[in-house]
Amino acid sequence: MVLFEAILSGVLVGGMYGLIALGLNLQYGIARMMNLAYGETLMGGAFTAFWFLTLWRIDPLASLLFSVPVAFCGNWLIYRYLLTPLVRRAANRDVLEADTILVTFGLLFVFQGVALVQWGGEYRGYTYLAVPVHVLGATVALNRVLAFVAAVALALALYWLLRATRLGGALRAIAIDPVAAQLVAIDVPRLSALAFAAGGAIMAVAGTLVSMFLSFNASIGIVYTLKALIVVIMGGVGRMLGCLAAGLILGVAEALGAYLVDPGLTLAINFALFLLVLLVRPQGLFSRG
Amino acid sequence: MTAEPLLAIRGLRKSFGGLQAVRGVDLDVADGAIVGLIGPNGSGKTTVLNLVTGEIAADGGSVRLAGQEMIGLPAFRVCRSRIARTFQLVRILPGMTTRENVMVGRLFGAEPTTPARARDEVGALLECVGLAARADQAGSQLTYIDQKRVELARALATRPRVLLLDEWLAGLNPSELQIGIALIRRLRDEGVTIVMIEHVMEAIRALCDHVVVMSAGALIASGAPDAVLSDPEVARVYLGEDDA
Amino acid sequence: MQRRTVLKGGVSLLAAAGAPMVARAQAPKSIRIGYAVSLSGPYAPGAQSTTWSQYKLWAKDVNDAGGIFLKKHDRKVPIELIDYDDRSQIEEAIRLVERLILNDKVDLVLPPWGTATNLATAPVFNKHEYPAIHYTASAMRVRQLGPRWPYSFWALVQPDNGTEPLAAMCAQLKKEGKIKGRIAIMHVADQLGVEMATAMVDACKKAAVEVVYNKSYPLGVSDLQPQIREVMALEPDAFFCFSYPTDTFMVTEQAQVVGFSPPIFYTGVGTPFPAYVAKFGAKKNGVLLYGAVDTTAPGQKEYIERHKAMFNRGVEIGSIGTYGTLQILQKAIEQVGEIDRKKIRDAIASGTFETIADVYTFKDQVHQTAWAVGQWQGDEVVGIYPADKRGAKPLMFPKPKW
Repeated sequence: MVLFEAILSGVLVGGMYGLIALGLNLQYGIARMMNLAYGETLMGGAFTAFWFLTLWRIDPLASLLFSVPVAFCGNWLIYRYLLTPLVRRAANRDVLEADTILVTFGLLFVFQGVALVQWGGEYRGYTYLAVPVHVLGATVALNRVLAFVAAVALALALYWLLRATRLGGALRAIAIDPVAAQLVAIDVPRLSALAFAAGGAIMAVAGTLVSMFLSFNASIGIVYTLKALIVVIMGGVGRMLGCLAAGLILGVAEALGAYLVDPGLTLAINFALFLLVLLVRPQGLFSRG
Repeated sequence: MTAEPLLAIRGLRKSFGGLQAVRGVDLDVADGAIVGLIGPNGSGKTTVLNLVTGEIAADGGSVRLAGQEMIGLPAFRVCRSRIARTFQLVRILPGMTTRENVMVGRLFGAEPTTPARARDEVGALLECVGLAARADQAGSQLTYIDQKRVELARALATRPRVLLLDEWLAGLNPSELQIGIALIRRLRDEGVTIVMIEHVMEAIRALCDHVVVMSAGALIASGAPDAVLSDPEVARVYLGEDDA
Repeated sequence: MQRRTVLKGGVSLLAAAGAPMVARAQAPKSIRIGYAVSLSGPYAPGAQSTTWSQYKLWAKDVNDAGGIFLKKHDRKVPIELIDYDDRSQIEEAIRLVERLILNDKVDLVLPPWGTATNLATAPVFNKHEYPAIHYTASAMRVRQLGPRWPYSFWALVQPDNGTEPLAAMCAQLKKEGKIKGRIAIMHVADQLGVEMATAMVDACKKAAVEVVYNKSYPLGVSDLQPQIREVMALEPDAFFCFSYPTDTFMVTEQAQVVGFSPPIFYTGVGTPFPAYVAKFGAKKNGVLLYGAVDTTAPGQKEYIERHKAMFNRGVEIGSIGTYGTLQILQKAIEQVGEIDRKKIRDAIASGTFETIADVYTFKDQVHQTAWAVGQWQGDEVVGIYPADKRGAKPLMFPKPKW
């Protein structure tokens, strides 16, 4: 029973990993921007949920109505006015990659600094839906179940969007080859901006959900950026279901390792899996070709 | 060649750093023609194509399609204005199936449509280029010639008036070459105007109404294929290394 | 500017010529105090609320009162702060402390934030003979370093005397038949967590109580429920988690979700934070925690009000404790009556200091009787152990069910 519950816990955590990686996959996989300030959107979403609840007694889920559009527009502006000029300036992809990393690294410090000044550095947290639910005899917290459900729903929705719609076809073409894409009349800059902004919006959702069960502070963003990066690389850049699957594998491996071997090993398991994937399938577990 | 040209290139220029890759190229392409663009490697042929499609920005000059200026438009708009191309090194979307590759062209090209309707039309196109049997294979699993076919079908799916082919016939074996030549001829018969960069002289002779020769970024000769190919100056430029 | 330089030159000439009477008349314009604290990077949140804000508040309080009284000059001299951001990098902190001493030539340097940074910069303080009262540092090493680093003082409870009272408490409750004496320990795989857990296991051995579980989890873990389940299955009656803030919050929430509510429930850093109060409300009642302050200490209420006025947020015991160490420094300076670092060091080493947090005395440069264990009782963290300290309250047992 304890074993089953450990696996279930792992699945729930894995869903959260998948969720935070989905947005990065849109930003890096489709818009081709390595955004090191990615996690700052999560931090913003978490703080929004926190302040809405503590200041105005507004339900954290309702705060999504505010944080998601703001994150979408904010990320769109960043892409349009901060990152697009780099594309024009860069001589080649390597230069562009280095430039984006530098710019978004700077952005990370700006966001973190502003948050630190505005909201102080202390840890925040609130209790929301921290009620036990029983799944096949095991007990889990409702807030974690909610995050998991949202992750699966978003991953499936993105998968469907990419596979079955006109927009999705264009986004996939951009992900594979932006040069070829523009020569079949796809408006690459506009759709890349859209993908980048949507990635930010997903991160705001993740931030809201994560804040329901994990405490956070102004400097938490980078932790989630790194986690997302690991999951994206494991699952395959641009692959949404792969991303979710990689998140689940990580979550379950951590939980099982903690239960069967030693809880202190979860981080080691995490990186061992990551290295293994890099060595055996550097293109990601779920990538073709 | 007396009719108003469909595609009119005037004074097209492009430098990369100190290198003048294209220096003032003028070219008229009549509606329904097949024009061959030949010249040694590095003479600027592919750059001309890149400038026409808007992939790289021109330093100067104009490209008019039926009177409408293309220079300054982003690449996707040029494509929607009905200029499509293929690449010297094939650039299909390897993560997608054959059908999906071509669908992308149909969905976003000159006459965008819904996925359901595009599906039927793409089926017909695949039939036309001989890929119907491989419609659901991943792009990365196709043979080289089939990848070239995918690229051609995708370009056609955007409904071009002018199709730019960059050595589309290169690397084909003799029987494939005959099929390729027949295919291009059929496209012209269906009303597509074609500009083709090509080294296969057999194909140039068989297909082109008009040939222009580039050397070091400039046009050095222009005319009917037989006349141009027998021009000693062209032979010298083309076979320069051998003669020297 | 030029006149001052000339004056200064003149003064030192006179001093060199053996005219101390003249020098005494020249009181410094200010006491220049420098520090390097993490204002960006991962340490920033903790450093800002526990350390940096206390330095700012203290300087304001001192200057509002006219400064620190220097007997030798017979007047109050204000404080001037010189601050640097070490960007959460230990090498940077070392470099900045050295820079403050050598380039900025400050009179005194305040310690940085965090165990690792304090331990790493301590040799610099000692090399240049600058006294420092380290608060945000707890490690077994400080016990051996005392004689080698005479200028370093350690004001916080250290792992051994932080856990001995816990084991003794369990032994006592077992003797009284109130618990069976089955102890479960979880700890973060970081220096403080490991040392606390190790010290706890040793103390339990000595006190003859049984440790049924002792495992670590990594820093930044995202789920502790499986581990809590494992602990629950062993039916311990005392649970100790030597944790950092994020995991403190997580382990408390998840224990509530799965209904794990042993009569003794202890968590580490973060338990007294305002956010903990906001998150758990009345459920915090009875939770034991790492460290405490004397809530009856004179001046503490006023301090909390001044803190609220300056930063618009509540305090936690760490900030009160840090402010206390600044009061020690101030009192030592006033006792000496001049900026003589050797004399200030000796004053700290030998004195007894009443502060808003605790009564501090240093033996072998460590505050041996520091508050070890606190407990949430109602809306207040009260000090429980050492039980003979002024302000100590009796243990609330058992902790009410969640």
